[in-house]
Amino acid sequence: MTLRTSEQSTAFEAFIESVYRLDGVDQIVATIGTLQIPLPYKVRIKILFSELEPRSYFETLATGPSESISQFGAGFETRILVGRPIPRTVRSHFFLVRFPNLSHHVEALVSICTADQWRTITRICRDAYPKLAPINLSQTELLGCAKKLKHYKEYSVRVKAFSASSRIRSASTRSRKSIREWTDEDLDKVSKDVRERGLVLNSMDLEFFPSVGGVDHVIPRATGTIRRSGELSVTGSFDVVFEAVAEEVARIGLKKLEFLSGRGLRESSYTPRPLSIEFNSRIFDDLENVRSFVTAVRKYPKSMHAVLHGNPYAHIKLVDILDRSSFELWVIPPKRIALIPGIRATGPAFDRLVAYLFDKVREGQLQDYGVTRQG
Amino acid sequence: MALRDKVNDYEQTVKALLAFAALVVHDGTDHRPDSRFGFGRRMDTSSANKLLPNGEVRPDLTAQKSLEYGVVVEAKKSWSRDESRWAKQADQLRKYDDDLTGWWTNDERTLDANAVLLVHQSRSRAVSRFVASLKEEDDQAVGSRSVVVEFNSSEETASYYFFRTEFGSFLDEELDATLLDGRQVPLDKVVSTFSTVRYYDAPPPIPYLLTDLWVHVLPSVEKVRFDEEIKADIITVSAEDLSAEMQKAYGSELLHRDARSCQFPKSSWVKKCLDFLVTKRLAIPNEAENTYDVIYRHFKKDILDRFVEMAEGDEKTATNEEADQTELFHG
Repeated sequence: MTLRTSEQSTAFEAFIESVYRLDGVDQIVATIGTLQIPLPYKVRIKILFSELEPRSYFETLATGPSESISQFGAGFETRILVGRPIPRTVRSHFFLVRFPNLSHHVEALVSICTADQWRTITRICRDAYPKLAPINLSQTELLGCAKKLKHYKEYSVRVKAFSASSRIRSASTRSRKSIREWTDEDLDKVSKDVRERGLVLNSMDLEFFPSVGGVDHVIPRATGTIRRSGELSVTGSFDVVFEAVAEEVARIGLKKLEFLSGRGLRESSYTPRPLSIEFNSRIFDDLENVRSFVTAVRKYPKSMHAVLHGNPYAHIKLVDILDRSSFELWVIPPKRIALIPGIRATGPAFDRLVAYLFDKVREGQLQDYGVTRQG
Repeated sequence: MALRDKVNDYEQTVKALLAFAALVVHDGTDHRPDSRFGFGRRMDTSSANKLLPNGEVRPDLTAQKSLEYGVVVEAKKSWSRDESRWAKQADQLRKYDDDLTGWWTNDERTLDANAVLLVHQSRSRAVSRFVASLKEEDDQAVGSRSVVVEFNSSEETASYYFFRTEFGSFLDEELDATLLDGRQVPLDKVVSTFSTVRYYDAPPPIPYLLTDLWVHVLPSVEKVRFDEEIKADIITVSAEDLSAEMQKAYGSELLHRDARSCQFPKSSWVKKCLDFLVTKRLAIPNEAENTYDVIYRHFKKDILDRFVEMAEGDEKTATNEEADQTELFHG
């Protein structure tokens, strides 16, 4: 069902506000699980990581001088001015849900909202970096997450659609073409198709079909869209998607951040714990790829850089000005990028950098690198 | 030489020293037993030393292959075109060609050792001829255990350091055979094994050290306040604290340490950088507290390029002033 008038939207938002005023997050979650959510509203989820707890960050913000966020029932309300030349206030609400089997450093931010409202919420999250960090999924992790859900409890899970980018290479530039495709194919076939066409997967729509005795229903109980930005949106049963998908995304993200954390030189008692990105093919035999790497790093958002070498191998120093983490990056032909942490190098800063390199260069295998010795 | 080239030379020298050390202390699979290396290690000369009896030398690299054998190395990537200025390096080699004390053995001595001049390929032939001609003129001018080794990074993929003997021979048969025809040391091995060693016991060009301070050290300092007027972070530091941090992260503390080890980067080098920042209005000295307030700006441009530009600007000004002075006297 779709809401078509502003009166309908106002009435629906009043109803949602009453849900947010329920006694505790558990009640809100239980209630949302029973609701049908009309378009253009959806249940949207963003998985967040914080050294403290994401909830504590928002509580501090809400009790501080900021007028754009306040506590609302068991959650929060935001009022953000958008638009020019005449700005308008966009009101949104959200709450935070813990995962019972995971550390409190990762929580799900959940909101029933329109795309417009969601943009204002994600802006607050973006501005909160590095105190709050997103979970970035690589293509491999996105596919892995979907594969794990092939059969979830009494459901059969199929890929309904995916969006991807393809690299267009011309003499002067490399740009991207976005594509969105609908498919009724098995996940393995989709995965193979994406690989063979050299696509970079950005999101997948998964449908959960009730299954009895190996026979699937024709109508899905829920559809969940997972994005590489660690965001999900739900149509249909919130419970199914939250339990199946959100927790898996959170688990993947937390495991990765734990792997990436503690590598700053000061944290590791000055014994370096560098990383490398390994590629299957000898991509850096082509000097053009080395030069493209240097160009990409020079354009890394919110950073400063120093290029010591750019050709035929690359050596670049980089500082993340949002987080104050620093790195040395080496392209070592034929197929390796080495990432050496600086004195300060947080897990989220590493994740942000790796996600950027996966996007702008190519996705590879992230692993520990080298053995460090003294003289 | 352009300042950017000096920066490049310094970095290449550090990597070449590490790669050469690896050749000596590593057998391709594992660290050799009783092997060690150090940069700028204090070694005592013998009473029979031709140029410096009972003195102290600090070779760029001291690498011990075993309890019986080691090498001391002086590295020089760039050489003046004026060969008359090469005598200094030849003297250094002569001092090292000696029964030095300071090895990692019970009596700090070793049976055999070679003194090595590590020279970039672009000059290695000329330097070898120079050393050979010195020896011809005076047999005592060049020691019997002196060796000239050329190094370069492979031009094809630049993922190797290459070493080859150009003059003399090694007393160690294995090393001699290895370097006679030349040996490659993969860059990957150097980076992965010594990923954070950036300095040796010689002062780097100011932009080199400043770039590491700007990228790695200053952002990690906790004592920061934001100045609303100039819209920049103000980071309060001392040269001593910064150099101590750099020694731990990128310098001498990463290598084997004992009473003969030296410390680098030195606080005097860091102080020179901070004083340079003062002249560029990127730092304010607090003389009473012996600290500096660094105005930490976010450069849109390449940080190294920025510091090279600033430093080259100073050099040009100094050259012009010199020229003006000359004109004043001779004009």
